Amino acid sequence: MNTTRRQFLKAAGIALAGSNIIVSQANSRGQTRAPMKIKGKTIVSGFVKGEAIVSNMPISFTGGMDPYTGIIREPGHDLQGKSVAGKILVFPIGKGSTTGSWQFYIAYKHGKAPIGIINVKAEGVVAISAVMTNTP
Amino acid sequence: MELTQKEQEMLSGKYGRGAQRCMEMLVTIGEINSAKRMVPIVSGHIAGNFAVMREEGIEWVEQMVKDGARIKVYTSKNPEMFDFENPDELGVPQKYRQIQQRMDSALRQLGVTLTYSCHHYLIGNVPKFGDHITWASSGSLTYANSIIGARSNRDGDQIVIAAGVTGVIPEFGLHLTENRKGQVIVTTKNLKLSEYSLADFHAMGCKLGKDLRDRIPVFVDLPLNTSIEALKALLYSMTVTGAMALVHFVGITPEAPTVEAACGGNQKSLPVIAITDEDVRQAYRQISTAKTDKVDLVIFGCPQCAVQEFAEIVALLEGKRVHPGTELWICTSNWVKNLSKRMGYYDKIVAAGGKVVADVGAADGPFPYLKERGIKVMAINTARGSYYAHGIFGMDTWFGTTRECIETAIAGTWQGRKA
Repeated sequence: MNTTRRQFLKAAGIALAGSNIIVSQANSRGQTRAPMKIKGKTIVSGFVKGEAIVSNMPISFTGGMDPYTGIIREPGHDLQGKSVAGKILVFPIGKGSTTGSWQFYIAYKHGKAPIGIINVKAEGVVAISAVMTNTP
Repeated sequence: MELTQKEQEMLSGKYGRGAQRCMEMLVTIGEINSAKRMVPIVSGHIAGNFAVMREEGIEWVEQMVKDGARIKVYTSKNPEMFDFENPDELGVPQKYRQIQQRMDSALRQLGVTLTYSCHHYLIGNVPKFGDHITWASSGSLTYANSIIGARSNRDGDQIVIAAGVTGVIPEFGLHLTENRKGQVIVTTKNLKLSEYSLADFHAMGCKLGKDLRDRIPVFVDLPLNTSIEALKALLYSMTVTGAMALVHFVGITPEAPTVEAACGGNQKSLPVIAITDEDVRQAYRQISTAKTDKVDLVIFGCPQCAVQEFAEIVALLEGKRVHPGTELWICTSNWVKNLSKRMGYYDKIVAAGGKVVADVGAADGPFPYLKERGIKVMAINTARGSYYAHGIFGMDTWFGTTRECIETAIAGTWQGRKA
């Protein structure tokens, strides 16, 4: 993915359709620009549309996210205190214990998981989390 | 990825939805790691337990069973919440017994061999050099990679289950010889190792793990007569603060007969870590997290105790009794508990006021109900046990030698080193 992080930070809405990522952007006055299209690599296929929540830091689902609320609880994290529930979660890469997939699954069963995930680089814990829950 | 005909059939659903889901997970992991093909595995090991899986994880396993998934490769399982033979004696509440039975039943139907042990490489899951395995649980997989020369990546439980059902794992990472070469030289020549206790080796591992992160270290001058217990202490603590899965000990481990062999010939270009006694002392001071002297629980068993540790503990308890305000738990596998009975260790520990608890590890399993009983401050002789009990359950931990821990059990207050 060769887009800058600043472009992601301005994203208002994202639609994932297979490997197509469509980012609609609006500024604080509600003025919109033409949607940005990014080509990614599909891990789990599907279509979702929703609000983006964006982090510049890796996320660990074990210890870093409360599975019962979807709130990121890692001290010092740029999403600390924010909930990822129901949003399209954009972050560089997963990290931490391999038990993270179990924790993500708990969040999913409680309706607190993201509905879509975009990474700069895919790694095992996030990939398995996505496959277990059919999250594009 | 190039799949065999059988693998493609599993992926297409010919062998049922369960096997199909398993193959989907394996192909996904293979593709993100650029694996060209799958390789057959010899064994698996599941790290998870109720503490991290919860009811949702049990439901996932039950659904797999309903979808027809059945494990056909020998797959062992980490410890759980309590000793299946002794829940009354441990005061385990009914709600935990019921959920444990449900977990046991689901895993049994899936086809897991219920070892409830994290020292499975001592008892019944022993791969040989070069075997492809898939073991979750970073301590034991690093033992298998390093001491035995078997081949496992840092796999999650779902991958372990998927591989156990399909019989294969994508060939990437440490399954490939070229990825098993050393990346960092570690020299211990500045250490007064002859004066080191096992606890010092734990501290050394904590410091090195932090500096190494996920890189493969090559210990170039550790004495050849370093005990297996000291090597285990290093591996089990390095994999808590670090994320490597393979460690070479030159002259000791099978892939490291020489520095050249361990490094694939390019040892001259590798970074060097020259650890000092002061590094180790400083790391030692950072392991304990407790502040109060009164100790509620002295617990051994992360990883579960081998029978030799029982002999040492019994000698230290000779003629003494555990303090009435403190509990002493020796956690181990069902196998070693039985051997400890045969050798008289079990009766001596119980007569002194201690408990021998099987199917449990000292790091997490029993803490949900122990905390409910008011257990807060504990003492343990491994850094790994201290990190997990504190990090997952918020226990206040004292870390020290086996002798200091037994003296603490007798006195009721911490008898070891403080920061």
